Amino acid sequence: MKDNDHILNLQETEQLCRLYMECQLSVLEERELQYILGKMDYSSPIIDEARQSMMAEGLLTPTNLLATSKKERKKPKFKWLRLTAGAAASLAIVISLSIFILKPDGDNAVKMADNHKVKESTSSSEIVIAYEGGKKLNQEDSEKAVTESIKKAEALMAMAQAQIKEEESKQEYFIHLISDKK
Amino acid sequence: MKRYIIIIVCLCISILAMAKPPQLNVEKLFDGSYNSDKSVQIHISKNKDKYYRGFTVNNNAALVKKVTQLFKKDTDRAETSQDIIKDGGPSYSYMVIKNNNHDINIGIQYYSNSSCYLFINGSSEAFK
Repeated sequence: MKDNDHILNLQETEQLCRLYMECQLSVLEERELQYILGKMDYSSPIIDEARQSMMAEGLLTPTNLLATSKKERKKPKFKWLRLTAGAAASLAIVISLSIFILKPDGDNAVKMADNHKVKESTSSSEIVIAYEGGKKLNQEDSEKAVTESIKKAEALMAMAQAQIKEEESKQEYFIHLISDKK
Repeated sequence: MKRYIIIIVCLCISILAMAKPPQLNVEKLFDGSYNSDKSVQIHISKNKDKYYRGFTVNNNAALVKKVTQLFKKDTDRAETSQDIIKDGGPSYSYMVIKNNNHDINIGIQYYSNSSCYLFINGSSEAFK
């Protein structure tokens, strides 16, 4: 057997494999061959046969094969591909999710209402737009018109609340009146 | 691989559980198609807290009819609704729709058969 430091060439490895297949190697030599087949990516019919035989005997496992036959070489490649595909899918999900989250609310109608850019409004945090008589009002007039409009809405809501309370108190009055009579 | 499937499923669930805009029928009035209508006044105000839209129709019976139809479609989703009837017809209708656990107030006031005022009002959270 060669020294540990000596790197066997293909022919020497084939010779060793041939001896292994003929059961002419000592236990120590088999171990060395096992080590060589695990480390080196030599490939020839006799080497592959010896490698498969060792694998069948459990002397050689796919985990201690770093780069051997084509089949074994694919495994880390697939793992890498799988990781890349997974990372790409996760990235795509994160991007689509961020677009979904960062889109300016569900407020499409505000955007649609203003065919021009919303930038024209007072500030980025507040949007005030008004159209009257088929024309868009300027910022100052828009703010006045919108303020008036909001006041009108609030007055109507207050009126509706007052109406509900009035109706409820009427109902209560009649209920008390009926129960008193009984 | 299982890990990725679990992550994707969790993300899908989170997306589905996220807040949705109310998609009101009356919002169609603010899609820009009435911006140039001379019988219409549109008022829009939105900031991080409040959301308001007003739609006033003057002398346009067909549009009043359409506004009423859109309002009635949304009434099906209302938590509460109220009609104040005067002279044989509603002079004011009001409803509250809940979205994202916030109230959206929608009201319509009729001035005549051809004039009305509709508003949508609520916190911005309700429209996200």
